[in-house]
Amino acid sequence: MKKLLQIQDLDKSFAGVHAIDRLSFNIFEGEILALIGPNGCGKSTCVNLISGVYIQDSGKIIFDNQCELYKQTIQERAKMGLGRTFQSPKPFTNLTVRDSVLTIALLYNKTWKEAERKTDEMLEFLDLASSASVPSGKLPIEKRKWLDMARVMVTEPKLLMLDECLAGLTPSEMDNSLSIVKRINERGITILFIEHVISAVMQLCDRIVVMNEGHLLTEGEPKNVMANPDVIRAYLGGDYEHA
Amino acid sequence: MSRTDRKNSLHIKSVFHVLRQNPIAVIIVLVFALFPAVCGNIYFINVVIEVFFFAALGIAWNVLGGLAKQISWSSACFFTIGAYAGIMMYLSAGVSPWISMFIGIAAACLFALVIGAPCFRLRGVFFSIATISCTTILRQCLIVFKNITGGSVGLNFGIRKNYSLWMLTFRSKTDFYYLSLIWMLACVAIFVAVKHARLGYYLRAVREDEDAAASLGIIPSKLKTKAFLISAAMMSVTGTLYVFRLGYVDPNALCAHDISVKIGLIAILGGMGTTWGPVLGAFIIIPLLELCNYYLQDFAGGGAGYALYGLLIVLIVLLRPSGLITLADVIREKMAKRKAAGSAKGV
Ligand SMILES: Nc1ncnc2c1ncn2[C@@H]1O[C@H](COP(=O)(O)OP(=O)(O)O)[C@@H](O)[C@H]1O
Ligand SMILES: [Mg+2]
Repeated sequence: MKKLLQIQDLDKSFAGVHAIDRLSFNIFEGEILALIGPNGCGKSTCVNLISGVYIQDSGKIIFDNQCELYKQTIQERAKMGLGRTFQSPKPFTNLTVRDSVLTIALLYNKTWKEAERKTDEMLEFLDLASSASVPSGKLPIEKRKWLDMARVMVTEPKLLMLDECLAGLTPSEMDNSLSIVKRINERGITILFIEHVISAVMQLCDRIVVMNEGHLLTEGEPKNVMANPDVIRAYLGGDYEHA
Repeated sequence: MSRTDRKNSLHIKSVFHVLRQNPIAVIIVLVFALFPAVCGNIYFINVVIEVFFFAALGIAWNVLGGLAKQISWSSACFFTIGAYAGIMMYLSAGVSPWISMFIGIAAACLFALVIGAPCFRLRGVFFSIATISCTTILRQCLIVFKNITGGSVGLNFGIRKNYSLWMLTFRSKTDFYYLSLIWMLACVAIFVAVKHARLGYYLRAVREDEDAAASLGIIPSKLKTKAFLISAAMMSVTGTLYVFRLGYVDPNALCAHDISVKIGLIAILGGMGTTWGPVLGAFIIIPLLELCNYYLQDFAGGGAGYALYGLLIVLIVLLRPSGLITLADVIREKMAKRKAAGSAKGV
């Protein structure tokens, strides 16, 4: 399998907080890779490093087998095919759902017609067509997360990083969102799925990377990872056995 | 159809769309057009000319302030640059304002780049704060370089003969009335065109969430700079036209912080980001200032105007932060509801 993104010995500190500590893992093309770990272990920081919000202190991020990510701006990385959503949704509050997506589609398409076509297609695909003319700020939390996905999807990302796209959802809403993520992946988009709810990850993801205090604890197939005593002890503790 | 054709036709379409959506605006414009024929009082006509010019400035302010929420307090600079470009080129070489306005645009854009390029790299209020001192800096420059600018006395056209549209020398006051009306409407059209162009969409995305916009590939600093340039150019043209009516420039009156505040306030009071808000704002503030100047001349050493600005800002922030023009939407909704209720009863 082809490596889409390689992270090698990545390191990042914030004024004394060692947020990412010699982290290494790969993301393979076409997979859904879960990145899990307790709160504050550095998952969001990892996404921010890949997407260019922060620049690493040391280590390498290699995209598409050849391109080393270091100097590129956030926007350059977005255009290269690195898409992300944020842990808390960031809607364009006073724009309608359709205008929000159209704005981004305009950025990636030469003609208005093409942009409008892609926008409408994406709204349909992510079950947002019925809310097209609603102001983004008025959407329920679940749909706000889908809107964030719709916006980033029209950039035609190769790798989509979803930062806790299930947080704050009820169990039935979670099922809807999971099926949406699956649908996105079926379009051939590689997904880095950040989460700290385990059950969702188990049914959705091909592989799991477990982080703890900024470093890699273990990685592998879901059932192997969950059987790993280190993971149970260090991260899941008693909770998982009870769940 | 090529890309630009499509873009242009879209702009024209959106202008018509706005006209159709605003029958009241069309009626008001007709009233403006007929006003000089009805009103014989030259003083009132002059006040309305002032309103039109300041409405144009407010609309220009709105391109950056309303679409991108970048609050500028440097508007008087661009207005002044346009005015000086017009009068200096006329006095030195007899150049028509229709030509010198382009020199004004170039100078205003250069000035905007100097302010905008460093400030827009930073997030948030830095731009707004940085703009506060610009008016003073430019005024001092105009006063210091007195060989070409006339120093603190300013410049005067003197007596202009040869009435012509080319030189903007008119026999009748109503000619300038129509010129300012047309320019104001042109500014409305430019604003609508920008709002419905790609640039307008990107700016609003940046306004709503800069982080999200950047993560999706939008470059906020570049777009804000573009909007600032358009805004500066519009203000500069307004300045050129304005000075040909006024007949002189006085740096202390024209390049004043007071003017910058007035322009921003007109847009904020009327409605930031709205198409007709600044027009309404100008129709409230300019006549109010006239009244202040007339009746409250001696109040606080002539500071009644400033007190008025302060009062208006407080009131609008407390009562209607989206601007007075948005009351029209409220009324429209109420009327639609009443209509619906009425027709329901009828059945
Ligand atoms: N901009 C920042 N400045 C300082 N500390 C930060 C910053 N971003 C993250 N951190 C710290 O880095 C650690 C990892 O945070 P984060 O990546 O948000 O964790 P997670 O997403 O896994 O919950 C935390 O200790 C957090 O306080
Ligand atoms: Mg996080």
